[in-house]
Amino acid sequence: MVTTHRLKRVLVVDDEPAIGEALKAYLQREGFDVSVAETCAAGLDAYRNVSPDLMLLDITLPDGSGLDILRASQTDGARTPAIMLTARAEEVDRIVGLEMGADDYITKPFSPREVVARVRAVMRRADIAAGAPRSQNGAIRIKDLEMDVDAHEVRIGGRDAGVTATEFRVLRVFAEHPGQAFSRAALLDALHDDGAIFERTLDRHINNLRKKIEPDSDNPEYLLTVYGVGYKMRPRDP
Amino acid sequence: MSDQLIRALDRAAASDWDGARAALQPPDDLPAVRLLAFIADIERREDDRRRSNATLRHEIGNALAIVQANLEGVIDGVLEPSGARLASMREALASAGALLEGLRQP
Repeated sequence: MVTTHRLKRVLVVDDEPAIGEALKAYLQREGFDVSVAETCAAGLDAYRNVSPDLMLLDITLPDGSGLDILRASQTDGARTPAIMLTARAEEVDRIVGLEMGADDYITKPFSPREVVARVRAVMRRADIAAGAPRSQNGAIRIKDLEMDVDAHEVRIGGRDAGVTATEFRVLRVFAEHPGQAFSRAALLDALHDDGAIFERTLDRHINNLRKKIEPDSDNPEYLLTVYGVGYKMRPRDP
Repeated sequence: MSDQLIRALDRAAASDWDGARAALQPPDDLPAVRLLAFIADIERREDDRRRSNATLRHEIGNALAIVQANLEGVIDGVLEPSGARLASMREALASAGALLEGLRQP
């Protein structure tokens, strides 16, 4: 039997052809299948036609913003990983903390080698999330924490943690993305919050979860605080 | 000078424009009205400056990104050192230079 591996596809959208060409050359050398677009409209077309595994999006485009492409990808529900390119420091604040749902950002000018390294890192994170650590029965397993999504149960060291429905929803986002930091806004976004969970009550849910799943809630091993950003689930053990 | 005006000027001296505007609500007298207009003018100028700086950062950042990405590409053997590539780098540098020259104008 012949097994074929599809090359990972990267979509680069930058209105400077010389930047797009350089990034394409570097990424192709690393084994990626690269498409380049120079406008927002062409980027949206390319996104729909190519179905990229990752997007490198310049924020300032002549006919719109790379954020428009990011939003379009999010409404499709595909959640394509994206790294934003920007020369404007004031835009970074909106991107950092993942408020816009981007996975990373790079400020111009940049080294293309650094871009390749970031692309690899974000793809690695996305791959881990897609194949979240699951045990044989399909439950997500991280150290002694086991989350059975079908049965709606959380066990810690084999015993039922007794989490509420809301706590389960919050914990599921973290457990499916071990090692990925979420700001409060990004967490609400990932929860597709319908208004039942408010930003101001998230800390309370986190505290309650810690009391239920952590051996010592004052020194958490699972739900870790990321200072200046929010929270993350401990990474998978190597 | 009224207490209201003194409070507003204290806030304005700390560049707390919102605080200064709040201290002037409602304005007691004509100087307070004038100070409100003055604050609005300063805020407008600050917005203009921020926008102008952002545009400059974008333009210069793009120009330098073209040079850095292409130069590294040639050094790393990823890109051909063609005449067209060298010309695009020279053009980017000239563009950044022109922007910097513009900053020197009064």
